[in-house]
Amino acid sequence: MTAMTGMPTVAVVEDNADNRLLVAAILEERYTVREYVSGAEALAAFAADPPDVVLLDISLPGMDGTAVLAHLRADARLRTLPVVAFTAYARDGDRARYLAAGFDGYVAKPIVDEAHLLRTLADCVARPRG
Amino acid sequence: MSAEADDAVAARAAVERLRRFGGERLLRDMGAIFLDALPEGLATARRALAEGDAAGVGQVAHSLKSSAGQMGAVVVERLCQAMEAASRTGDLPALAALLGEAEREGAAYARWLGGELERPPGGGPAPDGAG
Repeated sequence: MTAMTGMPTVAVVEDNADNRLLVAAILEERYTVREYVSGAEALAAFAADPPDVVLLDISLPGMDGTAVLAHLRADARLRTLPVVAFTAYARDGDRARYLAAGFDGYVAKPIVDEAHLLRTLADCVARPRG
Repeated sequence: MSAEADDAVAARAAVERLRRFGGERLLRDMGAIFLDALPEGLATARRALAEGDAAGVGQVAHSLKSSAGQMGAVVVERLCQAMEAASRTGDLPALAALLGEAEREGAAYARWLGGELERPPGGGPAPDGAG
């Protein structure tokens, strides 16, 4: 939670500028939005100041989203951080595949229904972290 | 309704959706990014194809697919999806055909979107060929 705003913080890890812009526009009234263009950049920032929830692109250059998730789950301090897969892999079975891989939620691109994005993030933030 | 008309309706709906998400400013900013990224991405795919790099074409197609879908460039989105599938099997002739089509359809969509961005909000109907 950001002390200044009282809003939860969402980290948007996404290499496409248009997607970052879009997500920020949808979320900015409810979240403090931090943007990262790569997994490495995000992981370095989370070590010092973890967000409340992560919206993580899968098809990132270099370290992809699944590898970023593995790093987070292997880190004692960050392993309970809720992570939502944000992906254009949106064929039948993809949602179940990402949830089975350890993501806490799944949002397909393109975003057609902003309510689904908001609900998914809100559920993740509200869920007790064990 | 014809497929072309369906595509034009989808393009119009995407533009209106972006206005709902973030107003005229978001539409213009995203439109500007896409109008740069689309030809740039297709040129990157063309270079990868020339090098016989099917996976490289697939990577670009994956990235453009979601942007095209978000902007309502549904024909380009479908072509990118088909390129992604063809890249998995390394089918270079199919990739060449699909990429050529994506370049033509992308140019048509860019003309439409350019006109749309110049038009005041709530202006006239979308021209044919939006896709």
